[in-house]
Amino acid sequence: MEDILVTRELKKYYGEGNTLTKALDGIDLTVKKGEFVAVVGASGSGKSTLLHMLGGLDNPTSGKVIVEGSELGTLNRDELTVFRRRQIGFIFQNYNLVPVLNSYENIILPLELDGRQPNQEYITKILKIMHLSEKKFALPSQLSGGQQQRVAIARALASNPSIILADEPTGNLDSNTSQEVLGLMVESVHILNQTLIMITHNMQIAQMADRIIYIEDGKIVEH
Amino acid sequence: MGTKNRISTDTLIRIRNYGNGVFIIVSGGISFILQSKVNFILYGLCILTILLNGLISRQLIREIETYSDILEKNITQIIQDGKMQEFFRYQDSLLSKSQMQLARLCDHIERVVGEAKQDKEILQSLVSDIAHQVKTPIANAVLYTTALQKKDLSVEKRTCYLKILSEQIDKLDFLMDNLLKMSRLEVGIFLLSPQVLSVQETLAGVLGSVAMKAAEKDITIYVECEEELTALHDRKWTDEVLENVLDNAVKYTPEHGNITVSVKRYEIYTLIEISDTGIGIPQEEIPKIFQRFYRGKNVRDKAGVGIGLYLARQILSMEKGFISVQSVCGKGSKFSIYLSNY
Repeated sequence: MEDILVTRELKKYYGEGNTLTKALDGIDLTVKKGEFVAVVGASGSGKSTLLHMLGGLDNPTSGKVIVEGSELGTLNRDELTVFRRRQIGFIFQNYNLVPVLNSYENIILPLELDGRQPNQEYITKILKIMHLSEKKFALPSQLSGGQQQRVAIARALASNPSIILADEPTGNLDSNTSQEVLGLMVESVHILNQTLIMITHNMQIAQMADRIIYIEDGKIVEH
Repeated sequence: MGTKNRISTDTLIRIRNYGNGVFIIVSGGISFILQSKVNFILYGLCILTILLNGLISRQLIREIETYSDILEKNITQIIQDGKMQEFFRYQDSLLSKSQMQLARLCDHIERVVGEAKQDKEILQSLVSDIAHQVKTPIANAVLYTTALQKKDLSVEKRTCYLKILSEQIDKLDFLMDNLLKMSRLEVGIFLLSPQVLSVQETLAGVLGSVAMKAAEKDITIYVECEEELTALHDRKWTDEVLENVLDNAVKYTPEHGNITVSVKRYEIYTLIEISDTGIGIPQEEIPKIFQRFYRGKNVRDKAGVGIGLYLARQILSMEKGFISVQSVCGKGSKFSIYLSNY
């Protein structure tokens, strides 16, 4: 399978002189299409910074991020916006659903922002995989935490992005719900051949990944 | 949105002509009625509009021509070498959007072709793994057979060698059995047919075969399972999963220990939890135990080849379920088997 994501000597430094903080200190990472990679590290290890770089939310101090052959550093602001919209699906800890839109409207929102017509069959399939068919017209306030996160995952899948980036997706859920949400997430990326990069500090969650990457002090360490 | 997509070059020219015609007729009519000085202004306006109309629609036609030209070129490129040049990746334009979809189509084709190739690679790596696994017991068998052929062998030594020989043959038998199962699963010869079935019945079948081994070590097995619980699974293959996990529990739990099996139903999955009071698994090894042929460092002295849990994970993923584990070294392990409710 092809390499969908490559980083070369990725560095992010904050401050200077005595206050210099090396959030990322030379990350070389290769992710293949369809792979599920868990990124594990203590808080402050630089894992969130890494995710922001991969999603084009932040610029590196030096080094390259290459997604599907195009280097993010060479894109201008407008191109970067379109890149995020089409190529990246984000899943956050706090769901980030729009409260006045129902599940279905939340899910197709990224498509509408890109001026694309949602493919009804595909959306129905995603709703089914995420066990949301019956919650299609429910507002976020009528859903449990686990259900809300499932809507957020469906939203990330809807635009059929190249990579899904998840930052502690089950951080707000109890352990049983976490396992359920994660099980569905793994199943969906498997069925839809999606690539998933997930940050977590929970080993019970990380063990379900195809590969685990450990980050300490901004560097990838071997285990 | 709809009309924008369906517009053709012919339609555009027609629109321009009709537009011009209508304008000329209307302004001609007005000038005829008015018959005054404003006539020449109207005629001027008329000519200006015709020119402007022409310019705008020429521009439009040109854009559409470029759009279709580039897409046509892209498709030719894809047919010839599998990818397109002149790719306007991240622009907010119709062309860019169409190209992104085209790129997705390329991915899809590549994936279909890649899967066939991948199957072949899996098979190759399996064959080499099997060869590697089989080597040791065969070498041992050969070694002890040679030793047994010596004439001046004491009875004790002979018995001992024969015992080792039969152990090696058992191991080979076990290996071949599991390797066959695994290879058939991997290349999709066996297809699972999961159905919504009683969990208790499935568990009962498996526990029967494990109870003997547990009794030998005086291990007590506690089971908590409500009768009416059902979940999506293929009984024959799920037996395999449960047997593997329970066998491990018995194998790695010291005498007089406990094994607890509990079943709970949640929103999406039914959870079968199997916990033991065994030796546990070191934290750093947990992600590796589901890999093919992985054996823990603290269990090298126990029999086994490292297939069971790998097989369990594969089987579960084919019935929309999954498996995870929590463990504390020296205290015990807890395997969580999740089966989809429907």
